[in-house]
Formats: sequence, structure tokens, C-alpha cells
Amino acid sequence: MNNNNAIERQESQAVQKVEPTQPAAIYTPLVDIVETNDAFTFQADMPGANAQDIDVTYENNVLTIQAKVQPQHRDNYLLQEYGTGHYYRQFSLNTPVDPDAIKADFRDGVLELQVPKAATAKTRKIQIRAAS
Amino acid sequence: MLGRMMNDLAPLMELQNHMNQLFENFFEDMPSQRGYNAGYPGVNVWEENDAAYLEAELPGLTLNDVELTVTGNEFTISGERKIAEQPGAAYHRRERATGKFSRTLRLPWDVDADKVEARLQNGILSVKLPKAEASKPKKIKLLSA
Repeated sequence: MNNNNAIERQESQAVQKVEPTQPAAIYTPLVDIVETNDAFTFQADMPGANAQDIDVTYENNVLTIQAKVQPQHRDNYLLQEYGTGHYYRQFSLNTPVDPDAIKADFRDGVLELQVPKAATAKTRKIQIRAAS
Repeated sequence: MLGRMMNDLAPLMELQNHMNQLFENFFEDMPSQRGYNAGYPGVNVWEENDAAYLEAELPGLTLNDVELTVTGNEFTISGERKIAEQPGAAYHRRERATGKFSRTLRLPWDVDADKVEARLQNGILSVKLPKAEASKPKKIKLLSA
């Protein structure tokens, strides 16, 4: 439909989840998710991001990873195979986790998150008492 | 008659081939989308002041995992990405690729191998490839009559 309605136009722009400071593409980082009995591990490839520009938030069972990256613009590329821009990805966690104990490590362009499960969510072996 | 026609067109065909080769040297495989269909890693190359600058995304690697070689006008990036497996863990998502990679790019001029500078930081490889002295354009002095 036409966005002749100025208010509609403004509202549709306000719904953007990430507000970049300058117009830039937003990329989805590739992520590996591993689950052990105690924790989840997220490993996200985010080359070009800086540790201080990465935001990891956990709210209402949703884990959000975002990074603001300065996009590079050049006029004189001989070959351009990838673009640069921000990173954004969200995950919905069904298992309760302990958000205060989330650890984040950023090295060589890879963000690694250790997300420990809440104590109630870990599987516990039930002891069976044999009838004597 | 057919033979005669082919001869006349030969210089044109040669020009066409030259043009094709010029482009092929840079665009070895046409990338179809953002992804490494052209070969891993995807690279951005630009030229400035008698040198080519190259950037590639190589997350999870340090300079020890990557090998850079220069031969004449060819520049090769190779290495291996390993990701530690966790025994007894369940993988919900496995999106990141692992394994050996090697990619060679051909530049239109020879590279001065001794002056190549490379840096790998935050998963971005930055390389400066200066032109070899012999490849730089030289002004020809005109002798006055």
C-alpha cells in the first residue's frame, strides 16, 4: 500500500529493532549452539566487531546478540565480495537459564557465550530405593 | 570462403579474448550472493598508491593458522579452521564451517614479496601488497629532435 500517510510511515520506521547511527546493512552472524547438561554454549562468528561494541542482552527468555560495526565504503574497489555492517541475532530459549551467570568472551572475531541453565532445569538422577 | 572470413575476424576475436581474460583475472568466479561461493574467504580488494589492499573475513583464526604466499603476481591465502568438539554435548545448530581452505588471487602486476604487510585482528585479515618496482609505470623521456 502507499505510505502516503505520514504517520504510518513514521511508525513503520520506528518498529526497527536495531537503530544504527548511520545507514548500514545488518547481517546475521553464523552461530553454533551446543547444549550440555549444565549450560548452553553459543559461538557466533562476528568478524570486524570490537568487544566494546557488542551487546548481549537476555530478557523474557530471549537472548539477543548485536554488534555495531563501522561499515566501510570505498569508491574504488577492484573486487568486493562481502559487505560490512552491523550484526544482529535473537534466540528464544525454552529452558530456564541463569542470566546473571552468563559469560561472554570475544576473541579473533568469535563471540562465545556460556549460558548456564537454571538449577531447576538440569536433569537430576532420581535414586531408586530397592525394596528389601 | 569460410576460412577467409575467420582470418578477417581473427584480430577482433583476439581482442575479445583479451578483454575476457582481463576480467577473469579478477572475477575468477562470480559470487552469487553474500556468501563464499567465489571461494573461501570472500575478499575485498582495492588499489591505492602503487599497492593493492586486501581484506578478508577469517573469524576464529590467528596468524598461526593462516599461510600467505606470494608468487609473482599471485597471492594465496590458505589455512585450516578447526572448531573444538565437545564430547557428550548435543548440537542444536551447526552453522559454522570448518576445514582447510586455499584461495589464489591474481593481480595485474607483480607483487614485491618483501614489502607485503599482513595483520589479522578481530577475525579480519588485512594485507598490503605493494607493486614490484619493475611493474611500476615509468615515464619515457622524449628526446627533442
